[in-house]
Formats: sequence, structure tokens, C-alpha cells
Amino acid sequence: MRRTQTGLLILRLGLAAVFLWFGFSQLLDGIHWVGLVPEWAVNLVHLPPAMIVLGNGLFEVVLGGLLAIGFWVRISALLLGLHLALITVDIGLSAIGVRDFGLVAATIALALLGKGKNGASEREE
Amino acid sequence: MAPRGDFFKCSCDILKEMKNRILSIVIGIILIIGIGGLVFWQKNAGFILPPADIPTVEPGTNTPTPAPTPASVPAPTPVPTPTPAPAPAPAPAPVPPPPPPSGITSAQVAAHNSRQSCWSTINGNVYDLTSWIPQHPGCEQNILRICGIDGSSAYNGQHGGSRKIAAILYGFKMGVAAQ
Repeated sequence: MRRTQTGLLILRLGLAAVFLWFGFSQLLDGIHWVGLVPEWAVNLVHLPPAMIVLGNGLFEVVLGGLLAIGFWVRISALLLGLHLALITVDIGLSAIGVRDFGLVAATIALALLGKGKNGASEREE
Repeated sequence: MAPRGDFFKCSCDILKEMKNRILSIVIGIILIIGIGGLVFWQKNAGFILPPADIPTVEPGTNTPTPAPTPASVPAPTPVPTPTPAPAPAPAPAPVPPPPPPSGITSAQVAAHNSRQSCWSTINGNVYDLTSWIPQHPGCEQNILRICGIDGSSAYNGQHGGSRKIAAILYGFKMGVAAQ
């Protein structure tokens, strides 16, 4: 039981670190991410790619932060997993795509498992 | 009436839960600040000031070379039939120097051929690939190999036709290569 909790904690914090890193990177150094914004996203939201990068970065920082503190873990993990799944499909079958697929799987697993007993949320997940 | 032991047991559980919650929040905040600081530090550590030798196209500031002053000619000795001094040949029109090349020259690109500063010319444009070296999904050597030279053939051979890669590359553009 203790190992399960420890495993869940490592999974949650590890994924949080990943999303926080990418989120902060987009917020602080967005110029290098502008080229990665797909055209369909620009056509969908009708915003300049730079704003999409900032919005995406904020989204990942906020939800990554919620994962980090263990609050609303399931919903955060689910949203991040779906978001990353979209990115993975867009990237396609490449080294980065395969790695992101692994992250998607881990994030969805966290969404299903919940935070265990180590989070800040009152409800036992 | 519930036994007193159950009351203390509940209090302990509540305290334990609160302690876990607070610990979780503290760890989460440390992680957020740590990752944010790491990204910030990485960004600033890898920041490269724009080199001062990027040519700027300035309007011609050449001043024409002044016409040479005629050398002083001593007064001719008086002769009965003074012959007029031959008219000095007109000074040739000054040839304006060629305009500075617009764009980044290959010599300037060649000067940035290391991991610390890596420029490459690709399809007529010059890119600063220094920060891309550790991020390149293929190995770093593929980028280091084209530092300081025209990497068009290597790039086109590997990524030619990929709009996505072209969009990524665009983020590193510094200017146009001089013709």
C-alpha cells in the first residue's frame, strides 16, 4: 500500500514537472515555440500564434501546478492528457511523438488512478 | 456516547490528514518555483547577445575624394613669344567605392562555427542555431556539422519539403545571406 502511494506520488510529481517545464518555457521563451503552432489551431481560435503559445503555456503551468500540489488531480491529468494527445497526433510518428505518447499514457493513467492519499484535495480519490 | 479513545483517534487522523495536505502543497509549491527558476536560468544562461558585426545597411556616406590641387608651377621666364601654358588635364571623376554588401556575408557566418556560436546559411538565409544544438531531435553532431557553412544541402536532404521543420527553423532566422 505504501509503495502504491509512493509510486503515485512519483508519477504525479514527475508529470507535473514535465508540464511545468514546458509551460514556463512557452511563457518565458515563446519565440521558439511560435513555429510549432499548427495552422489548424490558428484557424480555429483566430488568434496570432504568439498568443496561442502564451495561452498554451499558461494552461500547462496552471494545470501542472494543480498536479504538483495535488489538487483536482484527476481532472487536471485528464485535461493535460487530452491536450498532449492532440499534440502527439499532430507531431506524428517521430522520436518526439513516441516520447509524447508515453507521457500521454502516463497522464491518462494518473487521471484514472487519482492522487491516492498524498494530495492536497480533501476528497479521497 | 462514543468512547474517548475514538475521539482521540479521529483527532489524530484529522491532524495526520492536514499534515499530509500541507506537505503536499509545500512540495508542490517548491516544485513549481524550482521548475520555473530552472527554465528562467536556462533561458538566460543560453541567451546570446546579437553580435556587433551584423552589417546594417546604411545609406551611402561616402564623400567624394577631393580633386587634386594642381602643383604650383613656377612663373615662366619671360620669352618674346610667350607660349600659353598647356591646360592641365581635367581630373578624372572619382570612382565611388562599391556599396557594402547587404546581408550577412559568408565570412561572418564562417566566424561562428562552434558550439558556443553556431550560424549556418540555409537556402539563402542565415540562422543562429546555437540554442537549437541541444534540442535537435537528431544528434547534436548533425547541427554542429553545418556550423559556419552553407547547410542547405544537408538541411534539404533531411528535412526538405517539411513545412513543420521550416516553421521551427524560421524562429532562428537572423537575416538574409549576402549575395
